[in-house]
Amino acid sequence: MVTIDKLIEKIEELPTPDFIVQKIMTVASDPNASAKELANVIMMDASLSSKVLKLANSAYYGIPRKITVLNEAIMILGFKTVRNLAMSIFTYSSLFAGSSESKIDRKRLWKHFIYVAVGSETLGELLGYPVKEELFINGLLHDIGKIALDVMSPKIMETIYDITSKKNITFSKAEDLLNVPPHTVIGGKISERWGLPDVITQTIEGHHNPKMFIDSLNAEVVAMVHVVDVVVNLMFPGDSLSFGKPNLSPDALNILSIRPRMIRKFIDKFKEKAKKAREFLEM
Amino acid sequence: MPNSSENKIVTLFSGFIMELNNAESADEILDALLRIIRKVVNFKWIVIIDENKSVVKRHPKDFDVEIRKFDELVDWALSNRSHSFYPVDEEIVGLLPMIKGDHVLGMILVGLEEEPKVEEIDAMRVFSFLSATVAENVRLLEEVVSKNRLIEETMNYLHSILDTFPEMVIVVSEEGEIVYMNRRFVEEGDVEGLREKALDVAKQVIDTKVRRIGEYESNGQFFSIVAEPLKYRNTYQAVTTIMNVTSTKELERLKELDRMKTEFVANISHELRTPLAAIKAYSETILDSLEMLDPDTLKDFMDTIHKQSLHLENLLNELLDFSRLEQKALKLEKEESDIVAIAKDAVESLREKAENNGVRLEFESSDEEIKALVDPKRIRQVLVNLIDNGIKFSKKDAEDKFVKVRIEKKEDSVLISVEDNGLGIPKDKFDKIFDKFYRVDQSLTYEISGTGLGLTVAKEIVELHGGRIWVESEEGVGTTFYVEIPLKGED
Repeated sequence: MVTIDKLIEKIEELPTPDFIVQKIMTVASDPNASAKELANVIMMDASLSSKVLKLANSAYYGIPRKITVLNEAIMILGFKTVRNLAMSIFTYSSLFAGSSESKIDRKRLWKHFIYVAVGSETLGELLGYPVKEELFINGLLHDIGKIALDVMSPKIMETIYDITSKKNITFSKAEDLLNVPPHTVIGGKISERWGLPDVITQTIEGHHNPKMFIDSLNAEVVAMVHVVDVVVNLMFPGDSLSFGKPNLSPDALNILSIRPRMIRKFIDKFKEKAKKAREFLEM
Repeated sequence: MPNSSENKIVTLFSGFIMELNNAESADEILDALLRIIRKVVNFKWIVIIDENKSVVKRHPKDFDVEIRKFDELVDWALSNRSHSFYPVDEEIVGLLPMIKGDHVLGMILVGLEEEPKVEEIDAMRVFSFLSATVAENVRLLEEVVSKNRLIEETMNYLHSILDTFPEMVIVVSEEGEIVYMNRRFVEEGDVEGLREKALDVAKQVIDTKVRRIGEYESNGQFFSIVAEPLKYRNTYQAVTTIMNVTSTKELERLKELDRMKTEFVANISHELRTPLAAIKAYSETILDSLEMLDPDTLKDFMDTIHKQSLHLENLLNELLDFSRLEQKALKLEKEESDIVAIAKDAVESLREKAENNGVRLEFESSDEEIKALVDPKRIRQVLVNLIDNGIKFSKKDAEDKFVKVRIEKKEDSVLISVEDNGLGIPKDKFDKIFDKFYRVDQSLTYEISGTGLGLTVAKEIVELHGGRIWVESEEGVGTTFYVEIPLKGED
């Protein structure tokens, strides 16, 4: 069977975020950066700039006037949102740039990424988390391990899909049954390799078991992404190749001190936001 | 220079938190927020609007902003909960919604000359969040405090209303504890046994869930207790009202006495007039026709006049005794006397009257002679009264009417009973017949003559002798009066 070490070797083969995306991540986290600096970095890639502008003007943000200049997009939507857009574009392209051998439905997987991103941002908003944009990127990247698995070993991915869909079980359960390295671990390795912030790595590793990071600075973020991932999997079974009933961690509810009633409220709001996120699905 | 900027954030936070600590109203929190934003960024102007987009704070003081100019942007930022900066004309306008959870409290609009840095934007966002949270909490606190104050005022108001009640009011819990008492109860409820009685009535109400009424008497004070069930949360309580009705009772008694006195006056006038009328009529006849009357008739007439004057004397004596009795001036003149002889004499004095009324008068005694230390005149008066009553209250048309007088010597006392087979006395009147002016037949028909004082006087005399008098009777069957007198006089 495949060992994690063998897989990690293969991680080398994965596309890494190019220089521009890395630079965007750096600038967006620099407290002294200005809108102009970030704009300058994005503008180095003409196609990225135009895609960013397209998403900035999308229904999801619903800005009352059209933004034509990146600088403005950054000012209006904020550094982090623009960073999120750039990261989304990159993730999308790496998901679809991989080997085409796999028979899994990547569009649906992408839909899952976007829904968890949008959902996390929405839950953050509902719970009064001041930097809700951080939740978007964490939700977006939480299942990045699945892309890696698909690129590195499409066969395993297909087997997992067969089992989860036929036995109506979750992705994690199938990983257990097949004794393959879990996507959370693989994703964590990739996050480290790409030099993504700790919070993203922890979200990827802990999004099925928020208890892992209960004492971490990022406990709330991990817990929120977990809750949203569970809800989205329940609402759209199979999108993330996971079926059956996902486990909702009581620890997550405790960390966030939310009641099940809040989840109902979240679902209503999420449905509204998901409708507006169509442009993200078809990039 | 991450270190210096981290320090700056810490310094900013410290100052802000200190200001928030000292802020006591939402308004002061907004002032603190304006000052902190001034430290973060150089703004040209700043405005804080509430959720209805009315300006609540502005700086400079005379800065006049046309909020409607940003309407679209404000709406967008509010609905998206987004913090953003728009280039408008020559300046950058920052829109910072103030959000607490799901609740939008308002928004900060700030005019900047140049684009803010990431750090400045983040700081402003966090401060606006923080102040929204604190302001919302302060608002909630103010609301709670003012609600509490209102509740307290209402409570006090209700309490003072309950305190002015002339009744004592208590509320009793299911556990039988007093959970509320009004001031009247605190001041006047300390009557022996009253609390226990009230709790007892309350308990019945809690058990049965229906209204209960009780009465209580202690040391001449009368209380009426009314308890009503009250559903409170998931339990039943009893609202118990206690009223001191002593004065009401006393008033009732005085009214009754007054009525009896009026009746007595009417009655006694009638009683006095009857013999007087006879005396007057016979003496007038004698005066008018003295020469026409034969000695036998004359003697007959004089005899009647004499009898009626004796009757009148008796009545007046009875009245006199009564008035002495009222003034506590009735004195006994005790001497060693034979009770049997006194009783025989009393019986004999009424034999004629008994015969006239068709009543058989019987007498028996356990001993030939029973010596006792008594006032013989008074004892005779008592017996005459009782025998006379027996004759008076006989059944008009019955056959074999009798009054039996029996004397029995006991160890230390003598028991005299006077039994008749007359009208009888209703049970509930046994106590009252010894009351002054009381007559069982309260109609003003005067079918049977009497002052209504006889038994009152008799009872007084017996009690002055240290004895007692009581009655056994059955309506329509007959009555027996018992008099027990100690042989050696009063103890």
